[in-house]
Amino acid sequence: MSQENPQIEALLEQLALKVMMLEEDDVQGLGAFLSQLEELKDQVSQVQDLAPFFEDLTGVVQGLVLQEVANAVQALELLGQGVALLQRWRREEEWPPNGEVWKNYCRLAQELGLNQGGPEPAPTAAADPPMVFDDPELLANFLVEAQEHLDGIETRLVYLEQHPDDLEAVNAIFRPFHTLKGVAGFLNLGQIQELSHEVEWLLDRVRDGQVMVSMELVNLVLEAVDLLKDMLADLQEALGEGRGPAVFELAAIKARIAQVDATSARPKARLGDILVEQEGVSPEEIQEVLERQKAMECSPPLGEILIQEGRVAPQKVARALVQQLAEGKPAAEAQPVTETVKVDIAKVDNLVDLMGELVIVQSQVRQNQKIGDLADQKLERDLGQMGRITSELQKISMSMRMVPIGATFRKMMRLVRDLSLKTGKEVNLQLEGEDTEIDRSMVEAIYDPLVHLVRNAVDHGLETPEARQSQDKPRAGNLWLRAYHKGGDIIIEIEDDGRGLDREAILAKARERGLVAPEDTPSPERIDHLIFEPGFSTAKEVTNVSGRGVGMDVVKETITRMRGKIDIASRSGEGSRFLLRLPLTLAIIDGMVVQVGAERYILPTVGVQETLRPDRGDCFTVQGEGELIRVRNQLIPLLRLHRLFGGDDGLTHPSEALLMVVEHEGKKRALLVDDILGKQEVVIKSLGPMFQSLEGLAGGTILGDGRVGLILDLAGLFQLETV
Amino acid sequence: MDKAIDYRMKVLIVDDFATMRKIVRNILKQIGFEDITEAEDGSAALQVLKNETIGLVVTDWNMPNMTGLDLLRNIRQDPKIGQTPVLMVTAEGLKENVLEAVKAGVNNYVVKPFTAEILQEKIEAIFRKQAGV
Repeated sequence: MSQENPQIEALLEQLALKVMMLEEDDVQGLGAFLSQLEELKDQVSQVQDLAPFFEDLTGVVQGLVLQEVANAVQALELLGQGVALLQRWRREEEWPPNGEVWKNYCRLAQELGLNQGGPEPAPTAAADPPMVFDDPELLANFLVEAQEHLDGIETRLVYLEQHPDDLEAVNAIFRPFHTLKGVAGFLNLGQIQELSHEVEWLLDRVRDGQVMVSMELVNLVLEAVDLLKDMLADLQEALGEGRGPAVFELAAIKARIAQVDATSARPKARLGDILVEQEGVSPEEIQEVLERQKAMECSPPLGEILIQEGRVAPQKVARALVQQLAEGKPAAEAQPVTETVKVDIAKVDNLVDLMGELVIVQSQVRQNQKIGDLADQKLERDLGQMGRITSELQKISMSMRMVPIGATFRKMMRLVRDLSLKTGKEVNLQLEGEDTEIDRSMVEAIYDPLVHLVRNAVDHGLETPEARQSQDKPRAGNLWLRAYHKGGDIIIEIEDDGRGLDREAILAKARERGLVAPEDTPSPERIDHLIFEPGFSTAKEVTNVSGRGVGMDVVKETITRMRGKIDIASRSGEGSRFLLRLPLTLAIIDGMVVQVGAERYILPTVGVQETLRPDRGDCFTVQGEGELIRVRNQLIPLLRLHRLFGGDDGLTHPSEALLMVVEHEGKKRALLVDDILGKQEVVIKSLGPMFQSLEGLAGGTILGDGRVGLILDLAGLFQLETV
Repeated sequence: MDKAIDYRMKVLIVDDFATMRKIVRNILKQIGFEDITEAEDGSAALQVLKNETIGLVVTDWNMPNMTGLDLLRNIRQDPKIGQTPVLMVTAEGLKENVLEAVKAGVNNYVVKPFTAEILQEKIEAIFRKQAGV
């Protein structure tokens, strides 16, 4: 009486053929067999319920694939008998069948421990002892990569906390933990493997909806991340010292991970709530039905009652049910990643260096008098072409050192989160211009100043939620981090909408410290800049957040050392904005080449304000003050470069020579030089450890004619002169 | 060395974790393979497969952008590269993953952490089958 179903016949035939060829280690063959077996099961289920029998068969195949079957020969035999039984059932339409084959099958099933329900999954054989790689390079690679992954996890965790329903974000955190675990297993890093495994297991439960994303959960995972970072740091040390890794205490955190239980399970949105919110059903109506539902004997689901009583259209209930199911599904696709190649940074630095040399040699060739004398047009054209290509090459090689500032910005997310927990202030961090590129060597250098400014903004700038509310501001304070390029510089802004700088407090403090004379009334801008003075701190109470007085002066010093500038704009009650202006790279400087006697120096263009040749009458020598030059009724101290660096063969009187007025930290000096030779970009080269301590010089460079020029360091120069 | 295996073939390692790629590369070298190339994830691997002749793919399961399973399905669907042997690397305890990959036509699988001997056995099994066909 079985219905005609040619598909069943076809599948059975193929299975019969395959089962003869099956071998225990032919995973692909087993896989194809398993797929067809499951297909057959679906087809057959429409005709007769053989589910338990099929479960036995698929269980055996799965057992073979997973190598969990004790006796593979018997298992393969059983599969053969099983397929034969199915073929007979198809012919005779009788189940369970009689005869030898069935007896045989039952015997095998018994021996394999089957009982109409699939094999008990045998415990997996203990994993092989992990291999130890005596390869420090591999371990060093792992350290770098693991660190990157942990950084990524941190930012994703902070994101997850704000978007707890984004399952893709959970996945994105789960994945690196899983990978860490796997690789740690190979490298014999038992504890890293153990902890990653615990967290992975916890996140797996989050994915399954057994555990809900909460602040506690995020905190716990962040703690695990910190612990893993400690382990990596220790490993790094151990690698250097040639010792084994230290043993960390994992029991406590493991216990806490285990305690995260199902009580914090993600609650399913209630159908009633969705109907009220989305479909305009009144809450009273839902309430009324719910109460009657309780009273009913065998209470049907809410949706059913609503439809039956004609209160809500079936479509609306269906829509709400779909939404109920859809919640917790991944929200957004991950962004595609551009392909990259990892290159040793030393190679890139070397390349940039050599490119600089190439540019110089190239211009030497072009400036060579003898080549010029040839007056060959083709040679001229070719040289021009070569010049363009070299400068393009130089640009590209420079850009290879550039990295987006986003990673640095995103590190601030974790910081802001921790700060907001500690201070009880609500902070809304907004990042802009994360793709803005910055020289790799500057990324690390700006990290500390940035941390300090962000801390200050949260700790001093932003008010408590209560204070904000009383001023009609939103409870959560805003903090912006922006980066963009402007005029060949990179600008980084840290802005908050907090209380702004307290100028009175600053001025009072500055007077107390003797930074401002009592009778002096500085302009608001100058007051603001006072916070950069060494030893200045406005925090009325020292918290563990804002530090102990080492602060803004260090920030300013760091920025200045990078040839950058820092500026403040602040309005009382409306907030403050710190603006960092930094050069794109530390390797190249835009400079004025000046002649002093036989020597040539390069002055950073950023510091030069004007050049002039004063009249004799504008030069004064004042007792105790040295030489002064009057420039538009302002007296500027004169600095004789040839005296500072030796070599008295230059022009000595200012009215015969040239003066370059330079500015640094609001102070001005007039530098005496013989002549300006030009303005050009020069590649900074270190003078080497021998001359590291030379005050007033930032480095050297090779000029177009192949000679060496020294680059002046304005900050150092000003200090040198005051000594 | 097994005679069924042609050690000159090009092997493609797919894993998003560079350290893991290096580990697998080291093990493959121990086994005797010399021509080894790498890809960071499924989609990059597909590009390689389209442009080069690959004799064996050793892929991780767990990767962003395109998982190992999706890579496997993509390979099997493509008539040009559909026959390429694929060996899947998975972590312990993920039986559902293994079974899913097996049903999608993976040639064999290996569980992390594994030794050179185990990987060699699995690869030999794959190529013995291929030679037998």
